[in-house]
Amino acid sequence: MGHKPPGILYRIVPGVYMLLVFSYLVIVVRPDFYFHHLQPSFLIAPDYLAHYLTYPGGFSELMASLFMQSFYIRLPGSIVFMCIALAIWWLTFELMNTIHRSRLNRLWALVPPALAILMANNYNLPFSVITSVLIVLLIAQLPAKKGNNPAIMPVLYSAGAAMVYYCCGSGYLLLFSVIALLLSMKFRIWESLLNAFYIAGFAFLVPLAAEAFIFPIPPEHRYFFLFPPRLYFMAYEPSWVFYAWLLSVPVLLIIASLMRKAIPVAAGAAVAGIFLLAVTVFGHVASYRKDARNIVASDYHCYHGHAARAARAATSVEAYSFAANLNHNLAIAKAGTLMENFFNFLQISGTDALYPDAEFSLEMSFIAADFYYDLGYISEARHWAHTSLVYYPYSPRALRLLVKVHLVTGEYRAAARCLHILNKGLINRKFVKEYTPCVQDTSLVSAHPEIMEKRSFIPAGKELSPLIDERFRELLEANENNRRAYEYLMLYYLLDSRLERFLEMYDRADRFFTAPVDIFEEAVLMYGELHDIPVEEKYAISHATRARFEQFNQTLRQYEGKGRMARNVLYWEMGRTYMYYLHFVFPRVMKPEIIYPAYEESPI
Amino acid sequence: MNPTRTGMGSFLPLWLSLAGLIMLSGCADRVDHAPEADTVADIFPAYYDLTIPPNIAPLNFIIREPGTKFRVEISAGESETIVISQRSSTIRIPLDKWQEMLAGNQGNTLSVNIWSRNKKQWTGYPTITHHISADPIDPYLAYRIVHTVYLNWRRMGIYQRNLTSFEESPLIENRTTGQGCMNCHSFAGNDPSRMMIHFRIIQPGTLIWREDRLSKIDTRSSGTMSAGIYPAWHPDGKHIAFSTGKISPHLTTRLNKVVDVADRVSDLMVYDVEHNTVTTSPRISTEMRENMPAWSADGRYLYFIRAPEANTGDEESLLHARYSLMRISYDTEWDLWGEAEMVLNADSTGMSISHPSVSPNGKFLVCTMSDFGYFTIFHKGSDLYAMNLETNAFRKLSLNSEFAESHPSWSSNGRWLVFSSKRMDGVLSRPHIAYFDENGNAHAPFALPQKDPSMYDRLIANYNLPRLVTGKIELDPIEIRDAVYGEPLPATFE
Repeated sequence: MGHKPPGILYRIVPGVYMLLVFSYLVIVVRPDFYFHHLQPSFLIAPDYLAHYLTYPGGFSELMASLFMQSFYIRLPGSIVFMCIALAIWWLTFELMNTIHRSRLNRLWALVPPALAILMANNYNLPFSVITSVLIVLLIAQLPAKKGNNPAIMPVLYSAGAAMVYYCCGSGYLLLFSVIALLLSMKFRIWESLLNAFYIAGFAFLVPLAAEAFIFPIPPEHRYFFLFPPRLYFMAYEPSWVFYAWLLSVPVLLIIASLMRKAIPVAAGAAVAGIFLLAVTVFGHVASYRKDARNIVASDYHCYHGHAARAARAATSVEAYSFAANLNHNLAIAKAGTLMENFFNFLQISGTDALYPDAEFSLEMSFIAADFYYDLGYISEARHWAHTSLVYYPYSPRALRLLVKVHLVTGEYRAAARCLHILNKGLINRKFVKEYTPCVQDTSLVSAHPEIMEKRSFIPAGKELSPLIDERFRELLEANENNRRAYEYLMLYYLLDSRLERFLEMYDRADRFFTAPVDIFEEAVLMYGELHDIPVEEKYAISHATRARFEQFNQTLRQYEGKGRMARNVLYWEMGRTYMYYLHFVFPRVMKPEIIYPAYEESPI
Repeated sequence: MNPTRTGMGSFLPLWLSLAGLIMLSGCADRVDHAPEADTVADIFPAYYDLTIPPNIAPLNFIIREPGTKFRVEISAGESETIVISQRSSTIRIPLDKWQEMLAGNQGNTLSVNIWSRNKKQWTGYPTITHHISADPIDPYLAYRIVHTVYLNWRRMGIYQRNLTSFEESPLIENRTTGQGCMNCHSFAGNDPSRMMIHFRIIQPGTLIWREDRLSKIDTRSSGTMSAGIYPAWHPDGKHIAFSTGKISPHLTTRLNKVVDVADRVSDLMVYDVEHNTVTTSPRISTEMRENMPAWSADGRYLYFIRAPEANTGDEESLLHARYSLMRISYDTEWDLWGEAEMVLNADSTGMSISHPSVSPNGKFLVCTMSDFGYFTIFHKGSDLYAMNLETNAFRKLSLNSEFAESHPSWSSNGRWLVFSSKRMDGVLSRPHIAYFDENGNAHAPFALPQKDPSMYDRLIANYNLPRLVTGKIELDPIEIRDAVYGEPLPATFE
């Protein structure tokens, strides 16, 4: 009796721990961010589902996509993720019990679910990594529960291993084999050895034969397929947390077998608790990437129209991020405060931060599609939305944008096709309901203000200019009321210090703004100062701007010859002014050369 | 006393009433006297008034009329009528009955009658009729499915489809070969045992399947400017003409021509499959741009397209050039080239010619024409034209739509044309088949039939280069993968 630990420890502690893990999941991991970043698709369509069943590992990917649909909304996603974690906990606990039944197993079995949730801090994580281990644990129950006879064990192992290979891929067959090996150690030594030889032989030969005769998989997937390869900007780079996740169950089974020896209960519980705590803390430190999370958050909030949150997330990124910069600019543009808040983000990329395809970067495809749609440059919105679909097949985000793009371009049948696909998904009902009438009765489009406005912005047809200012001008030529194009063009001139061109367009500001624009007035004053022209006679400049300008110059004079100090002092007071940008940021902008993909990369 | 019998007996009037009601509702459910709509039923794909091969798979379709029940009757000659009555609007015709009906009624008319039941009222639609041709189509179609609309791509594969059923199988998918590019699958005539495929970027090389042997060739040579690009097998099956060159794609803001693929410089060469050598001639490797080779049916002439040289710095000459149709005689045995001669001048047509394809009987040449350039699948205005090679008269085919038509090719008997068309939604290309009669007239085309026709609404991918072949390509993806991962054999220049 003295060895029986108090029940509270083994019931309450896991419960409290799981509650904390759930809170962590909701607040820190944010399954909705994870979904937004990966854009997993799932269609209820036979051809879509069948595709996943043609190669080893496809089934697990399909399950992962299915589970991830719930991540679209934060709370249901967190609950589903938590349920998966609980399933992993229970299955691990059951496996450990087959080796040695102990209440401590409840604590030790918390390690794999904790690692699963920690791994999701990296939003590039292919969720199939988690579903695959879940499937392995599920199938491993078969040899664990029924494999009490050394003659039966190889049969159960073979059946389980074949299922694991097909459902999860070759890497998880190895994991399953290691688990089966540990489970078969309970027999007499020669029986265990025979089983071990059989398992090793199976794990070596079956993937070899499957690759040579059954599945046309690349040779590099023969033994170590753990997750599907993705392009560089989505590529998952595993940390030690990932390997700990893979090895956690075998290690726990070894620990369970060690617990057969009499270990003082208190000491065992203390070791388990400390280990769990260490895994949690160090796992968090290793997996949590604040900047990467904030970049995703800025994109998420920008996409959902939460300008303030998007801007906050973008400005929270410590190391400069082009994506965060773009998201900041796009979010405030959508909120109609581009001019007011533009320099809230230190625009160190200059004009390049005005458009996502300044450099040809595929990871910007979503942002580029949103940017050009917002701008009204519909051919490029179409181009980038379709490009997004190439890398994120059946992405709801890309498809939704394409519906709108095709409605703008009058490609109603293409819009209907996108709606049809969205309708086969699980999370698009509201959107489909909203836009389906437009393809059923195309005359309704003329009553859709957003579509009609974008249609009126379409520029004239010609070769796409590589210069973004040229594209802004084309938009204004097509429709002089395109406020966004005007704003971006003016910002382009300001960021590029082309103040003469800026002044040529300055008169048009009245068309779009009812109140003076601070940075425009600052630019006028800067122009006057640079060219020694009394601009205040010609242009009405507000008192506040003049005072700010004067204060800026006064501080500059105060720190004459101490440029770095002036920069630091002025940053806190004047960092959001055009004067600050022009004095301290502008000349250091490096312009990347626009590189087009080589022809060999085109499938033509 | 038997309680059951007593119970039944006491309920007899009720049973009779129910039976009467069922019979009455059955009468109300009949379509015989249903009012007929003024227009034919809206069905997808648009299978109306077609000429169809006697060996084609069932033309399954979706009825896009409002309704909760649908009835379809398909009849031809004396064959037993196929009746489909169901709640789903997706009509899947039984394969065996369809095949029997087509096989037994070659040269006859096939009728499709459609009814829909909406708001408890049946409506009939005017009969859709098709002509069942006596000319069979080659039983297999090979094509590439590439999941892209613009230039960037990730997933693609080359597939073969049994046209007499719905069986589709991959020849190779790029998931197998490290996500590289694969393109330009091509056959000698329509022979499935002589094929080639290019692999690009990852494990690059040209795979040649001939005499039950797969070999991987590097067609780059010291005498040519690049590896082979667009191929054309000589009818002898021992030579392949290739274009070589450099291209550059350009995006545009035109919604009817979203991409221009500029041919910066291009020439032609001929690869000798047996001797692994390449050769060319100054007459097809000029300062001008020669591209898109196609052999005449007898193999004596090589047709190709030619545009003036692209001047450096002159975007107009690079992007907006028009190609003329040329030909040059070539003796493969003695490696003797004739003089290049003009067949159809772009200046006289006012349009740019591309994708020439000569009919197996040598009488006709089908090609695409558009306002400029050669890569016409991105051009909404690209149409198919037929040229009578005996009279040099050409005309636009009636099968064209308002969207792009491209990549035409012939069946082995010369009676069927297959081509890519974007007519379904203006964005994605789908394979279409049309009957081509002895007078050079193309009949109404139809989309490749699918077991579930709604798959066209879901597949965000283009079908490229549909090519008819006379049988199954006896290769599997594992064999191709193993060959692709092998080292390529370099071709030598002669």
